[in-house]
Amino acid sequence: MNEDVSAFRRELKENLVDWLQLMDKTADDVKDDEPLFKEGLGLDSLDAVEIVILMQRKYGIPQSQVENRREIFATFATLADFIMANRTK
Amino acid sequence: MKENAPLNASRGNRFGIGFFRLLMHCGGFGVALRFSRIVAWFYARFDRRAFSAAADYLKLRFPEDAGSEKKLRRHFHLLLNELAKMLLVSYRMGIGKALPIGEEDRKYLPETGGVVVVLAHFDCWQAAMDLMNRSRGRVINIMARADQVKGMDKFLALKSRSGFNVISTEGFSGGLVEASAALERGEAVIIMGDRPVPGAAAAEVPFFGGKIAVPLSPWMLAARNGVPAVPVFAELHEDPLKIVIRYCPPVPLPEAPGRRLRAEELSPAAAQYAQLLEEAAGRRPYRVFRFGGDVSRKDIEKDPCHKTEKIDPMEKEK
Repeated sequence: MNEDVSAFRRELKENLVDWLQLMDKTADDVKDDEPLFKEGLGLDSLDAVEIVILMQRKYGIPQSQVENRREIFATFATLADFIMANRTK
Repeated sequence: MKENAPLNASRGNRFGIGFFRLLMHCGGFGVALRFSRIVAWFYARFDRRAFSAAADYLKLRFPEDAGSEKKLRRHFHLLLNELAKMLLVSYRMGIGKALPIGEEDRKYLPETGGVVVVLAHFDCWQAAMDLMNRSRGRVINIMARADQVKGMDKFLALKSRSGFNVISTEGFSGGLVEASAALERGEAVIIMGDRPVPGAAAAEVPFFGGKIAVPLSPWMLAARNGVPAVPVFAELHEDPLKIVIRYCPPVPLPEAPGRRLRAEELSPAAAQYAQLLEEAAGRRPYRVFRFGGDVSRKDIEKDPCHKTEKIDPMEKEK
């Protein structure tokens, strides 16, 4: 993994932990290939919307770009790759 | 039929629904309504599961009768009579024999831009779908679970389904991501606010001295997208027969911070909505179609609202 990708993932993990108020987690607890929901970070359907809002506010990705794209939310890595490829800010 | 299947999946069948349609066509609304009383009596007498599902609400609404199964059964029978009437009215509207529809306080529904319309399984709620026909060009989305009995579905009151989209609550994130995107585009999203999809984020809020679970999603979606959440009720008035769609003032929402909205920030909006439900149930107690065991008379905790069991958005996909 090149340095840019690695640095971006680190930043995104910190943003996720901060935005979602994952009180008992740190960025280090978010594993790249771990599912975001259920046994992974244990997020719920409201969190899915919060992630979409985070993508919109911090990375300039319109919500319409992620609707009906459940595969983006499969793991942290799929989410990070999508944001990195589509961010406008 | 599985015991945990939705009640409407195992009540009514094509033959029965077809029979009522025929009765309505041949004998008219009054004949169909009279015959529906017999069917309602049958269900009131023999459908233990439906009675059990409705009893939680009835015990809260009629606490003086909570200890008497006989009295609760009578309330249940009256409730089923009203439910049958609402289904017949809904069907009648669906075949184009529309009732006069009046609107109260339409001013609360913005004419343009995103809006969350919060409906409840109350009174002639299917008739509120008619407001879609009055959308004046705005795209309307409804969050809904597919009904399993064909011909009994929630869209009965609509002559045509053109002009609006259905967002399945059985899809990824319970459809919330799609609903949020629709609001961002300036569309309207209709959500049932009186009972949560099983497992969805909900708050327990005061209701007739007990508490009920109501979903947090309408308030979260509205707050997050900076759009109003407008409760709407559709009521059947019988003298003369007409539908009145009543719009309520938008429910105050929390500021959307640069972090997730917490359940305790959303729960006051849910509690305010439950007050509206309580007022409606106070006026028309037999028109609250809340079949489920998520109401109770337990002491309300210091923090009356808390988030219920978390749901995995991925798992909802069938």
